[in-house]
Amino acid sequence: MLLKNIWGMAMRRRFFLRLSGLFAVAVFAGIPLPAFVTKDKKKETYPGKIMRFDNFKTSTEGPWAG
Amino acid sequence: MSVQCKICPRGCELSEGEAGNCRARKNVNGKVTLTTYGFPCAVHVDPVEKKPMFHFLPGSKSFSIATAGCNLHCRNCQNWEISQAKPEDVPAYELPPDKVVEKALEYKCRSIAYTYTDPVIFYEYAMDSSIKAREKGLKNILVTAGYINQKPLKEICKFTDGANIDLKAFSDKFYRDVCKATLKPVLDALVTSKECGVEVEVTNLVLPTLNDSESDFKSLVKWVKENMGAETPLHFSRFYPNYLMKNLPPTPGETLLKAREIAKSEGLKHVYIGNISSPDGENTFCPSCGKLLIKRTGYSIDTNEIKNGACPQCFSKIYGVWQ
Repeated sequence: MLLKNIWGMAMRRRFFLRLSGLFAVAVFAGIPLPAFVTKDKKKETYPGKIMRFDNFKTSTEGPWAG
Repeated sequence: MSVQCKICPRGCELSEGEAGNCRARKNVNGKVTLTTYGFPCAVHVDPVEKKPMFHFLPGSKSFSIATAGCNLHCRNCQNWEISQAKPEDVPAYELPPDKVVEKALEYKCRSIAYTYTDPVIFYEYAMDSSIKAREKGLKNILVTAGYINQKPLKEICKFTDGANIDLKAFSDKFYRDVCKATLKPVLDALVTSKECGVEVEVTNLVLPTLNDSESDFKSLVKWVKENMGAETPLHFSRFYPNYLMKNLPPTPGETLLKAREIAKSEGLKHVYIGNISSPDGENTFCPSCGKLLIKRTGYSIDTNEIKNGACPQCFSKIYGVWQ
């Protein structure tokens, strides 16, 4: 019954309007949005896989030239 | 909004979200952004002799970094796995400039080398690391093909102590056919770097049938002597089949010996042969009295007789950075 009520509420257009309104207010006020909304800036800068630096070993076997 | 990258002579026009010819520099919100800033894909502690830098703190270690991508596309590239790759295809470390300097000091390096691919494409990262390195008493080395515009070059030279610049051939046709680039900007970069007070060494990778004729060597050597000075160290390096040039054989030892002989007869004072074992090919001699000053085996120093940047026998000054 409870689930049915929640589902019914979520399906109303007004619910979505209120939700998007809340997000708009949060963005305008500079309130940080939940983690799932904000983008990972690091990933946005470097498009590839990022490794941990502590795996690094001293060696002379770097790339062949230079 | 489209923008133009002004780092190298390609001058890539980039529309929103588009990466340049080098793959590392991209239009992000109307600005040219280095996507690999602080993300080197290669980090190693190398002997400075590997760069090769033979007149720059011999026997010292150089903290060497590179990011993915390159603004040249040499068919013979030895490091093509990282230079010809997109950053998204190459895993990288997260190492901002202050961390680079911290690690260089931790590993007792005396310099930081921006190398393997080309610092021209990771310019902002190399520049910021160079500034921080100087603050901590470290020196900076650029290992580059020299395909860069004059303005950014002059700016980075203020923080650069040494450079090994490739002069791949003294032929525009070679640059166009083999590297997808042009010769003139490279020649300008060689002269400007030297004029800015950078210790410049030149490397010429000798490719069988493509840049190994007597006239090829003569024209290259003459230009180096006339425009950079007879004291400029010149390295003739042996080619090994790689990337898109597996059809060519390794450079014969005799070709390298011939190149060295031509360079010496034209008056260059410091000529070396690299990537091959040859008697005296990697040793430094005093150009005035002929005394053996630095004896090298591979990347290691057997003896170094240079005292205060001069020959201990005749006291002639030797070109280089010695302390």
